[in-house]
Amino acid sequence: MQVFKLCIQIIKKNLPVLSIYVFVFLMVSLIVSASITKEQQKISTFNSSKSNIAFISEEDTPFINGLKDELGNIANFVDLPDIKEELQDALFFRSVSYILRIPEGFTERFMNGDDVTIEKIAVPDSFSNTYIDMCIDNYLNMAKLYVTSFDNITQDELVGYLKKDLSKNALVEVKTNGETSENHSYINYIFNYFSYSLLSVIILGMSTLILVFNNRDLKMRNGCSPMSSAKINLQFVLANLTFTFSSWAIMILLCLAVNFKNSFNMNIVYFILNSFIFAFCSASIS
Amino acid sequence: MFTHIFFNRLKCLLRDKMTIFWTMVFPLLLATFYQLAFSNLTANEKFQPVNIAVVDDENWDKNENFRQVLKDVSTAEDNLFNLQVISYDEAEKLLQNNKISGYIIVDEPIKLVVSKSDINQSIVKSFIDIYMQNYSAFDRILSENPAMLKQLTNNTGKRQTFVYETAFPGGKPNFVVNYFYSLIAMACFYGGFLGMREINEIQANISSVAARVNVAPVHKMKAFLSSSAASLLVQYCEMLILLSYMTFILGVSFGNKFGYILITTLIGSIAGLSFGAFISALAKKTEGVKSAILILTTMVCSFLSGMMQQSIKYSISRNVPFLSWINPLNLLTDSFYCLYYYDTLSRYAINIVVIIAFILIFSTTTYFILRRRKYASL
Repeated sequence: MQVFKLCIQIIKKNLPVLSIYVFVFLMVSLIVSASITKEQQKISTFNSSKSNIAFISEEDTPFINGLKDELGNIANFVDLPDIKEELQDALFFRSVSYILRIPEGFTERFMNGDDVTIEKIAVPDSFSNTYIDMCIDNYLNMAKLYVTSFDNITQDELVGYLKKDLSKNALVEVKTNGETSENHSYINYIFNYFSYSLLSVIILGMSTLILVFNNRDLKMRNGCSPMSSAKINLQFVLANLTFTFSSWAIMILLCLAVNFKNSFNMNIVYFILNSFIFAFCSASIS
Repeated sequence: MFTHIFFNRLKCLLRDKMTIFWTMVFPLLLATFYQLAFSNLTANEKFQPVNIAVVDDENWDKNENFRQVLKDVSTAEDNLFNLQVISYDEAEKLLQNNKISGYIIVDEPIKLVVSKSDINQSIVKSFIDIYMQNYSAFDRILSENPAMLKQLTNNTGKRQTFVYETAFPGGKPNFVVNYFYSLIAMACFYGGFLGMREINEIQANISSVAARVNVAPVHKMKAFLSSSAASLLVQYCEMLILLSYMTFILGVSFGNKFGYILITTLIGSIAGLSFGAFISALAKKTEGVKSAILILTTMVCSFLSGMMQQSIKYSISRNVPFLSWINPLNLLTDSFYCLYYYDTLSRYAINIVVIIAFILIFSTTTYFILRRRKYASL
C-alpha cells in the first residue's frame, strides 16, 4: 500500500490549507446558529403573513394613521431614513419588499373627493406587492364610499367607521393533519454552505494529489517500479475515496455538533444522505 | 530588459497550472454552480395565481354576489385565483394533498379551511375579509342613508386603484447579482496568488529563482515591476474571461456602464495582486502558510461582502459600516453593485478611491519591506 500511504502523507502535509475551509465553515455555522432563533411550533391558529414595508408619510393625519394601523395587521414596518440610496439598498437586499410614500396634502384632497394616488416602489410582480396593494386599495375604496355617501364626514368619524368594518374577518380553520411546522431555514442554510466548503476541500485535496502524481519525473519513476499500474491506480482511487469520505464525515460531525441543540428528524437524515452523494459527485468533479 | 523579463515571466505564469486553476478555473466553476443554484432564487417571490376551491353546496348557489366576485377575480387576465368549484370531500382531498392552498365554505360568516399559515393562505383570507368588510360598509351606509342604494348598486364591482407603481432609476432589485459581484471580487483577490509568487521570486532567501534574479545585472525594482506587469496582464485577462463568461453564457446583468465595469475589474485585479504581494512580504513564513493566510483573509472578506449570504453585506453596512469600508472585497463588490443599481456614480467613486488607497497602502508597505535588502549568505 505504498501509493495509498503516500497519498495520505500528501494530504497530511496540506492539512493546514484544507482546514481553513473547514474552519471558515465552522465559523459561519456558529454565527448563523447564534443569529437565527429556531421557531418550532405546532400549527393550530392561523397567522396572516407579514411583509416588511417602509411607510413614508409626508403628513400626519388621523386618516393616514388609520391606514397605517390597518396595514400593521399584514406588514412589519421597517424604519428607514427617507434617503434614496438607503431605500434602494433596503429593497435590493429585501430588508423591505414594499416602499409606500404618502404625499403631503393627500388626506385633504381625498376628503374633498379629488382623484388621488399613492406612490409605491416594490419588488416587481411579487406576492407582497399584490398582498399589500389589496389591503391599501380596500381601505381607500371603503373610505371613498363613506366620503361620497356622507356629506361633511370628519376624518375621525371616517376612521371610526372603517375600524368597525375592517374588524370583520373570515373564519379560518387550520387542518394541520398532525404536521408540525418547523423552521428549517437554519439547517437549510448550514447544509447549503456545507456543500460549498465540501466542494472546495475535495477539489483542493484531490487536485494536490493528482498534480503530484502527474509530475513527469514521478510518473516515469512509478512506471519503472515493480508495482503494476493497475495496482497503483487502484490504491490511488482508494486513497481519493478515503479522503472524500473522511472530509465528508468530519464536516458532517461538525455540522451535527453545531446543530446538536435542535431535534434530529428525517429531514436531517435526507440532508446527510444528499451531502453524502454530493461528496462523491464533488470527487468526480475534482 | 523590461520586455525580456516581461515575456519570459508571462511564459512561466501561463505554465503554472496550479495558479491558473485557482485564479481562473475555480472562479469559472463557482460561477457555473452559482448559476445552477441561484438562478431560481427569486422565483418563489413571484406572484402566481393561488389555487383554491369552493365547496359547491346550497349556500354557494344562493350567494350570487360572492359567487360573481370570486368568479371575476378568477377569470380576469391577471387572475388572483385558480378556482375550482367542487364537493366538500374533493376539496378535503385536494387540501390534504397540497393541491390547493385552501377551500372556502360559503356560510355565515364565510369560512376558509387551510392546512398552514402562509402568504397564499393570507391572500385568500384577505380577499374574503375585503368582501365581508365591504358588505359591512354597504350595510352601514344603507342603514344611515338609504338614498345611496342606487349609487351603491351601480358602483358595485367598480373598485379604484389608488396605488401606482414606480421604480428607482437603474437596475432591477435582483439580489442574486450580488453573489456574482462578490465572486468577481473574490476572483480578483485570488489574483493575490500571482502577487505572492512575485514576492517569493524576488526575495533571494525564499526561492532559488529569486537568488538567481538578484545576482542578475538588473535593478531589483525593474525586475519586480516587469514581472508584476506580466502577472497583472495574466490576472486581468483571466478576469475578462470570467466577466465574459458571466455576461454572455450565464446572462448575469452588470448594467450598461461597460467602460466602468472594465476599469473596476482592472482596479480590482491590481488590488488583488498588491494584496497578495503585501501578505507575502509581511508574513515571513513558508509558501503554504502564506497561501493559507491569503485564502483565509479572502474567504472571510468574501463572506462579509455577501458571497455566501447576500443579506450579510447589507446587515454589516447598516450596523457596522466601518467594517464595510475596511473590507476591500466589499468595496469591490459594492462598486459593481453601484454600477448595476444606481443611476449616479457618487458612491461608486468613493468606493474606487478607497480601493486605490488600499492599493497604495499595500504597495508602499511591500516596497519598504523589500527595498535595499542584501543577503550576507544564502
